[in-house]
Amino acid sequence: MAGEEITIKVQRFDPTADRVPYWQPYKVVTKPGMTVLDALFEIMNHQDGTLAFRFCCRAGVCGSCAMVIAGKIRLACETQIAQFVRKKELLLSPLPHQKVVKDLAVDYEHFFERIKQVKPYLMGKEPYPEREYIQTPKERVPINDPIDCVLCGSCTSSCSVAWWNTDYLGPAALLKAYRFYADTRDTAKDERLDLIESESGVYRCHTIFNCVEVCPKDLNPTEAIQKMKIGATKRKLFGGRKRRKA
Amino acid sequence: MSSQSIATTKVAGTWAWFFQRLSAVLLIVFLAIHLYASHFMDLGEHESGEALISFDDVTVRLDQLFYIVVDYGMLSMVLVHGLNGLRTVMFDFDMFVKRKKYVDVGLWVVGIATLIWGIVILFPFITGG
Amino acid sequence: MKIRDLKWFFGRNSEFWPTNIKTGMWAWIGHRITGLVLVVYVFMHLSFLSTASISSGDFNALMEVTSNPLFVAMDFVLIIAVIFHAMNGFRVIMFDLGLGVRHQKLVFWIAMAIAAILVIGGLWALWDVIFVPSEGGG
Repeated sequence: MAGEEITIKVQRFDPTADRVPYWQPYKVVTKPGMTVLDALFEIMNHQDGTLAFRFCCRAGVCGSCAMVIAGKIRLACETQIAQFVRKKELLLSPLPHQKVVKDLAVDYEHFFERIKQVKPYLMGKEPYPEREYIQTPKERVPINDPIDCVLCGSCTSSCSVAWWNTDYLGPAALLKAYRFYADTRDTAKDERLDLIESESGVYRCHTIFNCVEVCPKDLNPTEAIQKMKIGATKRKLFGGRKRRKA
Repeated sequence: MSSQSIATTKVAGTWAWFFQRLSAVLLIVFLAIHLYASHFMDLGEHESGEALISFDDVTVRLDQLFYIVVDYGMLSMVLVHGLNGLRTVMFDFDMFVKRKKYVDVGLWVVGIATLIWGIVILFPFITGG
Repeated sequence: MKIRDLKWFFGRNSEFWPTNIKTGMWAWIGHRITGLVLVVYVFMHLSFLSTASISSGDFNALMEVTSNPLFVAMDFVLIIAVIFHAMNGFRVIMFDLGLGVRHQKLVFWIAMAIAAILVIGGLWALWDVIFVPSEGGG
């Protein structure tokens, strides 16, 4: 496999110059263990300096390099080329249904705007502890998964509801909301439910599971959404808001 | 789309969602009775012996209050489920999201008008023509 | 981006179908389509009945028309739509109760297996009307 010349077709689009996106082929000689991001560097450094893409950590931690690789959203830095080359060809395109800044880089403005909607920070209660909040390993179990989210935008850009309904918070923001909703140190459960209990929040999710299919960290945003949906519905149907006093 | 509008558009999503599920379950029950009553049940007075439902058959069936309740209940549940589903589909595909209120009012009007229409349709059967 | 060429819709790696469509997405597409079909059907059902409920002659004439094998074949399509919608609806309600979210694919295939059995049952019930030629217009 290694040492072979393959064609990488990149979907390019410059909103200031092009009317429609077009595919541009690049020839790349593979090396053992070459990732898609390595290949993109190879192209940018030696063949075409105008190619634009996002990257940062190269280790699957920052979540900058999510893109559609061979028909599925993956992180470029974590994807081996050899695994997905078919007929010596590999297709790369930006995250679907997002505003393209240039080539493979998409606009994350709206994505982070929706993350901010759910107040992605710990809300404690006075009196605050003098040092850190104490949490036992058992209490941490519910958030073991959701804290792994790297905010790469794969789930929200694969969600077929979020494609069209731009008000929908999307799986990433709702998973973030769940991460604090399930956290034993967070005390503002009611406020968190208020934030996501709307037609733009949990009730817009129709359990399509696209987010679960694409998540590069194998998280389950749908399960998180369903748990908050149950919580919000129970509160609405059977009360329970009276717990909130302070 | 601005950061304020999402948090402030608090439409009663819970009830739309909840009644969609409730009506779904009720519909399955009603549909089972409806199908059984109109296609399999022996109505006893088949003078011609043929398989088709006749006007009189329906009249016989609708003499009983139970079947009137089933038919009208089914109609109202179908309208709740269908129109609410339509609303979800429209908003999912970003149609008229900015005019949510008008959509809601419009669907209520359509629903109630159809319900009245449907109630009137069955009158000849109930009164016996 | 707007729909500017067919590639947007049909092209390999197109923007419209960017991810591999898996079970959950198929279920959703099917649920949408059958749901819309059923809404249209309900209004057709009501309007047919409203033209027929005036007198017993009208009603019996309508029954004659709809017992045509073509109409019954369309009924079979309707049965498929109803059963798919109902079984997938059960699946969605299960997820809403928090059951089986982690095993969504298994749940989907179980629901589809039950749906297939019910569809076969429906076909069995309609078989005579569609395929056995009726004698004497009965």
